[in-house]
Amino acid sequence: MFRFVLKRLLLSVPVLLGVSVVVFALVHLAPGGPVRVMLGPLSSEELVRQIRLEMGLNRPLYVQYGMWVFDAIQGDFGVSWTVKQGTPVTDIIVERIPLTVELSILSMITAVLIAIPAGIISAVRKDKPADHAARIAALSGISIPDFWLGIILIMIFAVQFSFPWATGGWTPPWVDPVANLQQLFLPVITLGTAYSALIARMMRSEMLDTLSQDYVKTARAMGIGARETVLKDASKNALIPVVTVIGVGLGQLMNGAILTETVFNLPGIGKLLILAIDRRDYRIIQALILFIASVFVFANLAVDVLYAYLDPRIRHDGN
Amino acid sequence: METNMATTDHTDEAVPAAQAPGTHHSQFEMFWKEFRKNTLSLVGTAIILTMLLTALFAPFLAPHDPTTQFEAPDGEHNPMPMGTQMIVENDAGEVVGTTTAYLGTDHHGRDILSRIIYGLRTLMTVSLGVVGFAMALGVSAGAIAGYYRNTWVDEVVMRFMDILFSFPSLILAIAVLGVLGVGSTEYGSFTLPNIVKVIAVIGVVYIPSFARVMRGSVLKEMEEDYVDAAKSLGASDRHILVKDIAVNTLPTVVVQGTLYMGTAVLASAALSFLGLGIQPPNASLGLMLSNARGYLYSGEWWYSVFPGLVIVVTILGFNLLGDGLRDALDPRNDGGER
Amino acid sequence: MSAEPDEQPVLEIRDLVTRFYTDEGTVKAVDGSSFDLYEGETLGIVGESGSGKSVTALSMLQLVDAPGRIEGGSVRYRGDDLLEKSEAEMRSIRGNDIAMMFQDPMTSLNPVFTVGDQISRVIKTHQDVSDAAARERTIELMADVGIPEPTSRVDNYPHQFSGGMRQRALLAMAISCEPDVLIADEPTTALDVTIETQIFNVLDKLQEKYGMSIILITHDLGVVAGTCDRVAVAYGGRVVERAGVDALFENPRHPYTRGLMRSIPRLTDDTDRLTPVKGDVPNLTDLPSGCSFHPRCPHATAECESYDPELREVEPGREAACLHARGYNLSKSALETEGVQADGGSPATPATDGGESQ
Repeated sequence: MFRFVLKRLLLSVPVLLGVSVVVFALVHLAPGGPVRVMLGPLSSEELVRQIRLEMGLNRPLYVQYGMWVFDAIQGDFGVSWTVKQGTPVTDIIVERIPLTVELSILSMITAVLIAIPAGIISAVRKDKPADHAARIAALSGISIPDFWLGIILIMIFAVQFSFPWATGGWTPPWVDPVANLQQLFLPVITLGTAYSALIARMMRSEMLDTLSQDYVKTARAMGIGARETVLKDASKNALIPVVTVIGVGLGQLMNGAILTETVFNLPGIGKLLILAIDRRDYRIIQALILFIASVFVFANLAVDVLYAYLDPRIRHDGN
Repeated sequence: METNMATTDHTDEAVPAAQAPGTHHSQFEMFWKEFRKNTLSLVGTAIILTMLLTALFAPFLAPHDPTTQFEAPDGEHNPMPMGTQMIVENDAGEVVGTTTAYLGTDHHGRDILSRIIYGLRTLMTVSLGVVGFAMALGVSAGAIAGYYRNTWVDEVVMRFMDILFSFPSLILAIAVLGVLGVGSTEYGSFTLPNIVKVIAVIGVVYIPSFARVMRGSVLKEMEEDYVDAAKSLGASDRHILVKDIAVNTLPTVVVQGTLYMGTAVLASAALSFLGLGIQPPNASLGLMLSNARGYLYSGEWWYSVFPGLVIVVTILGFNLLGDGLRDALDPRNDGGER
Repeated sequence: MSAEPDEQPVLEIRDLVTRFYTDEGTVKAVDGSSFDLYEGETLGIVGESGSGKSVTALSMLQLVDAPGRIEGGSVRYRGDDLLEKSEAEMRSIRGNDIAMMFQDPMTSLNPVFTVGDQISRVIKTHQDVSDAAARERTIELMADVGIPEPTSRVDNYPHQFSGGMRQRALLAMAISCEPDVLIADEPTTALDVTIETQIFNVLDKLQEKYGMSIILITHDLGVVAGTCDRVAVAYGGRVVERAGVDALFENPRHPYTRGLMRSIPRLTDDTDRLTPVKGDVPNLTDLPSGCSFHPRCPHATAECESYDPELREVEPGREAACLHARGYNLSKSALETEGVQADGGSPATPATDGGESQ
């Protein structure tokens, strides 16, 4: 098990390096380089040249890349240019992390809590009304864009029913946990729906698969109750592949977080990214993309480890 | 009959493949028989056909030019609700008559129905472009990696795919567009049109999925006897690669493509919603929703509801169709893998 | 040896009917199966794949899943009809009084639980014992079925076991509550011949030790000859011949049984296994009229196409369902009715003894 984790960890190093090259190249290979990115296409050549010199951007690219990676490993991404002039990029990002993390985790938990039972019920009641209802709900769930769902929820709750707390904004949970949860209620539903639908669909198909396995039949033939075989024998086996989907869905969750934060006007990572793009603050863009990609890589790594932990066939054989 | 046996006697561990290796024609008939059984697949097909035809014939179907701005009736201002008689002016600004805005107007007085129809056209173009782009590159990369399996070529291609795969789909698109700037980009004398840029940045993250599916299929096919048979007949490597393998893996790739259409539509609309995709004054459903957000609290619900519904129905259609295709092809692939 | 024991049977299956309602039609998986199982004996149920043997076994334990339904008949266990029992009552019977083990040891154990947990779980389901006691008993059982080093193997996962060891573990699970009856559905089909012999040796030993009755479902007459006391031959969802094992092998009465025997040398050949007798296994959705074996039967006559023979005693202690079987006495009236029908070519309605006409 330890060897497996180590191996997986080492494998993610080249991926992360590759990601950093892509992120770096993105800015530096853009027409005109980072300064043009910052100043926009209309600024004068002279100004561009002068700033390039000041920022050391006329050194060879590999030197610049080396310096950037070296600093980045220590958490130094330079200072913001336009979003919050002079403030270290890292500080700006760190300040925004709690909201996005809270939103993502709450959405994930809610989604899993709804999806797993729904998938199980759907599979056990295959082709019965409950199954049809669950499948239609799941299909709609993956078909509704979260930004539109957010808009509709705002229209229903905030506009039609004037729910006082459905208007966005974010109070940190350590300041006022109740207000915090109220504010995140609609965003969590918005972000969790598609994710939940994805997992429910997967859970259903995996359950259908495991329920027809011989070991379930064997357990039943030994006098184990139908309910127990569903909840214990079939579910534990079905959950293993579902865990990978939960991992793959993380990317979707991050995409969704950007959109949800935009719809509900929540000052998180996603909103910052859009803001940085709007203001052409390339250092923030670079840092954020690297950050998000790293989180994604490590989350997938965590999922792989969890997968290995759940599946004794991998846990005991080491590969 | 084989299926009957499978249900009646569970000890038939190896129910022989139900169909003899038949012609493509009979395979297609079997697929169609299987596909037709599922009502939802047919609904999906109908939705997609409708959407494609609407997009294709947008200029004939849209009651108005999507960029024409109509005046609201006296004392009112845009956006106007459904069925409003809008005032039509000529170039000189004289009132020449009225026209009905069936689904209302947006904040510039443009006909929402017409903008939805043209927006759908844009959405379909971008989404088909995205999947086509990713499919073309992914299939090529996967085929090459699979054919040169376990060599450095395979390794390099697939590691690069891993890197692309480590970006959440929309994030990479947002990053690239954020850096390159929205709108068309000029490289010296060469202008990269915005729509191509949008297609490429969304499509790039789907390349690995196609590459993996293709590589997997190629590896599987390479083990089948008929590839050996083709080799012993002296057919060139290229011939094997292109013909035998491509024909046999086509169904899988097409299903994958259809399943990704829903995601591509979602991503295209999302990018527009964030203001990074199709730029005004072009009609775009995502952009309409983005603009409509400004009118949520003042009660102009039609502005955000209709464009959103069209996106939902389109994605639903692709998902239904993709699921149906996959399920119908599954018995042929004798199940097992997803 | 060939005569049926005098005492009451442990299990008495009568006219069992199980059908599957599928899109393609109604599958008559079990179509009036009847047989008995006596104390301490091993009964072989033999037949080709698709003859409904496995569904018969599943029906006895009410384990038939939708779209299948048990439609009729009775399964008397020590006098009580199991088909009348509630699910809760059945739960306490399954694994406790009647246990069943399946064909494929590779898939019959749950990959995510240890072998020991899966065995002791059955014990804890049926007996009020502590975890430690259940584990103790599990190790004993594993030793009983010949798993080496049971004290350490008890904590292994199924994937760490070989096929033969898994089947032993399943056997340990099946006998964990010392059931009266063990139904073994093709227990060695997935294993190679040396392991097969070992498993049957273990089975033999256990039968002696615990005094179980065993129903052995198999397609392999060779296995039957080596292990069973009596045999029921299944075809088209019912039993077509019942006899003691020696009598059956000496003198098979049903042409299908004869066909099966002729194919024995080829039974080791896997590809021929499914069709040891010329022709195809009947389509259970659309069984042939009359005797369902007639399309493949070398002795089929016109009557066979319309008359559906029931299982009858052909000599003391053995039964067959074939008009042409030696000793098969059809009542005179029935035969006469038969003659009329054959002439007229009308659809068959099997005559009953009471159906005297003209």
